[in-house]
Amino acid sequence: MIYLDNGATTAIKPKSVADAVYRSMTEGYGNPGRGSHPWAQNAYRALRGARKNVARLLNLPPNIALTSGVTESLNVAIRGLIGAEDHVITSVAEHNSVLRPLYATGCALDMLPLSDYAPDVTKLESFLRENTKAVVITHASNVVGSVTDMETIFKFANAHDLYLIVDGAQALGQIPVDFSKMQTDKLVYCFAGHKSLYGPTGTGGFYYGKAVDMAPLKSGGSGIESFNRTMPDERPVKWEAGTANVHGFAGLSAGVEFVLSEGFFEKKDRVFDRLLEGLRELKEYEIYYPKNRGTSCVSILKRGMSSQELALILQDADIATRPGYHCAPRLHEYLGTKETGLCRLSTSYFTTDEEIEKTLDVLRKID
Amino acid sequence: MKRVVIAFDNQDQVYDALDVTEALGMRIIPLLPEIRESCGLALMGDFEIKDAVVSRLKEEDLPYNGVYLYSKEGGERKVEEV
Repeated sequence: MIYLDNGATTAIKPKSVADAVYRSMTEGYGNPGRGSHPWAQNAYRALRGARKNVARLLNLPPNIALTSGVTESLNVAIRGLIGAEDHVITSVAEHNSVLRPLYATGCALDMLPLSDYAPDVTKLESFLRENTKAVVITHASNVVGSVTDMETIFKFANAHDLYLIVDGAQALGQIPVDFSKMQTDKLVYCFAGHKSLYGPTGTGGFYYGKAVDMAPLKSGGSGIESFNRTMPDERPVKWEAGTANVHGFAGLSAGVEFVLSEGFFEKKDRVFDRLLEGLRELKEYEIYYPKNRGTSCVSILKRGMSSQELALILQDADIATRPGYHCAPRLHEYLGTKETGLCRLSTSYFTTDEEIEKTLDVLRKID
Repeated sequence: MKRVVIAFDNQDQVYDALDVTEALGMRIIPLLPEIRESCGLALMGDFEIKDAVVSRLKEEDLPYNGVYLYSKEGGERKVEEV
């Protein structure tokens, strides 16, 4: 099968990831932070390695909390920092993992429209209110591959002392990121491990800035301060109740090392560029992708055909894509694709030139 | 028997310190209850290497919470800050 649904999850992982998971299951990885013996140390080191590697990707200190995924991370940040009395600036490009926690807080919302498929940051100032507490925004769209102008967002959030909560699920591992020059005291950057970081499912986390101190979503064992009735105040322990997914994070750490390896982005981008170039030659398709380079994710629609029908034809040709709404309801309303949905094609490092040519050939022949 | 025990504020600090002092003979132990009521970790080694360990931590700019002498003689154990 030709797998072009990497935006959902990278189904094929590097061997180094599988090896790391296997080692963590067979070579003595105990419960991290729960004991001083060598196997507990092995497990703790696996988590520490994952934190450090993700921090290298962001070019920030290793202030990384590990969670079950970007959804948990966004819930910790949004529910922990935002209340019903607050106002939040977000965008129409958001995934439900941002929108639903925001709706649950009861906060007032303003949504940035799009400019070339990315959140239109020129509108930020016009949305500012006295009670604006945060900007909660995607770093890269999970549907149309656009990348948000983070530098402008950082400047705006810092100028008005706002929290900045970022959904980085589709950005880390898709585009090089360097926040070392940014003021990140009030930043919460949430990431998924199983998508473009090539880790196992059930892994993710968030970077927390110096001034970020929200209440935890869950309580339980922490390995320290056992007689305290509440979670310890120590970060990131306070957000990591229960035994960590050591096997998963051992794999995630290896996945991030893979992303950090020489030539990773060049190879991944070259294959996607060929797909995009080929799609743009198909006149009977509408292409949903920014003019400037975005991520390795593009959506298409064949005129007169729903995205589901198109995906079904591709599936019959052994090509996996993702039709429908991609959990991004406001984006589809904004783009006018609520009736048809969009058919998303997302490549990975492991997608080959041959697979792209075959996909383009199948698309070309659809009546 | 005399040992040096070094306490820290969190477990990342313990492991950071272990990285630079393991070669000197330090190892991870459960944090002794006399130091803090907790189920955290600490580093321990022979008392003779105390000065070398502390200067290593200072050289590397690694934080620690306290340095203790752990002694056990004739069945009597003692933990005191040094």
